[in-house]
Amino acid sequence: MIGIAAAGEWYASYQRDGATGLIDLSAAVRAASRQPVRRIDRFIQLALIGSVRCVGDRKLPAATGIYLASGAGPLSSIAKVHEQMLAEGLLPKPAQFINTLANTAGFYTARNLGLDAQCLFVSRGYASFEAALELAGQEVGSGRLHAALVGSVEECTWPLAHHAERIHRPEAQSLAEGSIWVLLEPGGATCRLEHISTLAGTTTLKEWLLAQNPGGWYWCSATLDPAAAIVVQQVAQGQEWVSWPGPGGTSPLAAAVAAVRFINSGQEGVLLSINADREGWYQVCRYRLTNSA
Amino acid sequence: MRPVEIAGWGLSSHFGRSDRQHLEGVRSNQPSLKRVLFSEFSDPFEASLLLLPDADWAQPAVRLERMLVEATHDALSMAGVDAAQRSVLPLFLGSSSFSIGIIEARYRSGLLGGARAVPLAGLAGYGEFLEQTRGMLGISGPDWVFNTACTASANALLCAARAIAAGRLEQALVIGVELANYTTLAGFAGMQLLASGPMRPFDRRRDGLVLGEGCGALLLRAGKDDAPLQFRGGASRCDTFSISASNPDGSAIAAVMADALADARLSASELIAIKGHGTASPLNDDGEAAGLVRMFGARRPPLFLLKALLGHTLGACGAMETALLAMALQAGILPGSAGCEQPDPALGQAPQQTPQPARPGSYLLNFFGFGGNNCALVVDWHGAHQ
Repeated sequence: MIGIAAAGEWYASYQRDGATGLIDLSAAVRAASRQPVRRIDRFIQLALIGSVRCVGDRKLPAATGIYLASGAGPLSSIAKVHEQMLAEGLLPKPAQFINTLANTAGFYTARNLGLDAQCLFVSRGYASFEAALELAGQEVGSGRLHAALVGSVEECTWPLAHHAERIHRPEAQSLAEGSIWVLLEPGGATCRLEHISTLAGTTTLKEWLLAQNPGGWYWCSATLDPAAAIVVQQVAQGQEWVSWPGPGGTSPLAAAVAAVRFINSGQEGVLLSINADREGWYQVCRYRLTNSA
Repeated sequence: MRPVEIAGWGLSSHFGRSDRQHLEGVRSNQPSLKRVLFSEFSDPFEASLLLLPDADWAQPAVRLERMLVEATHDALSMAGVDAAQRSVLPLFLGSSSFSIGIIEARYRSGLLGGARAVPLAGLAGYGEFLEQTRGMLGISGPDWVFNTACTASANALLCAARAIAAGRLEQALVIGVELANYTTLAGFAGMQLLASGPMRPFDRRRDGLVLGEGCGALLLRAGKDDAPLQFRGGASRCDTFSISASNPDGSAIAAVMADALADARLSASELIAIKGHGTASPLNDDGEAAGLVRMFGARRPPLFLLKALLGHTLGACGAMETALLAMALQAGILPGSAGCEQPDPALGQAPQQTPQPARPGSYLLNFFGFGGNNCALVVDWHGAHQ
């Protein structure tokens, strides 16, 4: 059994027509930094802020793994390097180039928290959080890791119209960025990740849903294909599950936001999370919150 | 834990596609360098590259599809994975630059066309790359994409093998792919990490690396204890000493090798040989050599290095070098260390320079990357079954 010992988030959404800029993260980064950091980009800033909001004042064992999930990675650094390199013919400066690497944010997170175990960057589009959660759960469950931090990080780039083109959602009016983290430990916590798997096809999804107990909450991603969304709605009605509010819209952050807000809600019960990155394949999780560990 | 068999492999590199072409490369110990002038930059520079044979630099999408399809087709055919299995085949994919070469070409074309060009327009993240890859290869199933710089596909291999060993998966396809591109070249040029000539790992004349492109694919499955090639174990750790170089005292590298051996339930004396990471950059070879001395002392198993043969294929090197080693072992060959003709006495490590007959047993493979990402894998070879 995998326990979720802590959860924390930093999240913001912007309306394309009304936003005048991205939120300045400087103060939040200073608050999150346990040691000086220089020449870091927005993606790294977000990772530091979210991970520390999850961990709080805890001193984690060095053998705590980091599993950083993202659908798009450090877009602002890559875009800047491309502009300078391809439009102006300039070689990137070393720090600029290093910040284009997806796992650089994991390095700074590990250094900030004093960790030296496995540090991975994992992606699976809209279901990146579950991809990372599954790998981390495997390592914590097997006892190879004492604990694991799993974070879902996405950054917005400015202007938002360009950002929408970068993430292939030119029509999107609302765009989100954030850093959403959970701390996994073996057993014992008040919140447990009881189940996580990837299911193939709506029939399998329906069977899994029907095997769950009545009552509790469910969160269903807006990225589910229509046939699967109908299956979820039908079973939810029959099982008397209550819809758990997510952040709205489609974002790789959505599943993590819904889970973390449930974990931090203090409400006893079960949350079923149903997410999808493509038609016919579904990521399902069952979280259970109790008042006693 | 269940044994994990390496049941199939495929490799597409500058040598070509077939085992024969790659084994000729291993035996000759000579890569075929191409020297390219990049005049698009305000400070033009030359770089040696190891590109796919007959590759057209201006057609990155064609090169990417070719290497993915070639390597994967060969791995799946060798392992006898049929269409029904492909429809539910889990995929673990590692790369450091993914389709960035294609995105660059699109942006450059937009700039030349005079239109309002947006860098990274249509990138859509790693998920889209994955979707295109699945489409090219005709496979479906759960998937994981890894981007941990030069350890990406090594970490993919480790995670896939652990999922199989634990009984969560029956089999998995592991792919490492790297398409040469401007961003990587310019980044390494800016860091002054590109070799002025051939790549010379652990050699006293070493002055940097040669980038390569290609794809390695491995089919892992739950197997029997006597399968010819097995994934025995491994470990992955983060060294927070520096973002771009491992701790020069060797402690972090020794730690990941020690963890890998513990995971494989092996003692150091049981290893047949070690494949070093060997990037030929002064700092990285120093750190790796220090780690080897710290871990093995004077009783180090033979060391061999593959990067001068295939080029440094960054996120793909885990899968590509493992596939090349699999080919070589099955042919009874332990590769040499191309480019290392005058071993640097300061390193205290003299790699095996020329190919030798391979012996059955356990082999340790080192992979290290920017961001302090260190990964070590252990592969068992039980002797040729040809």
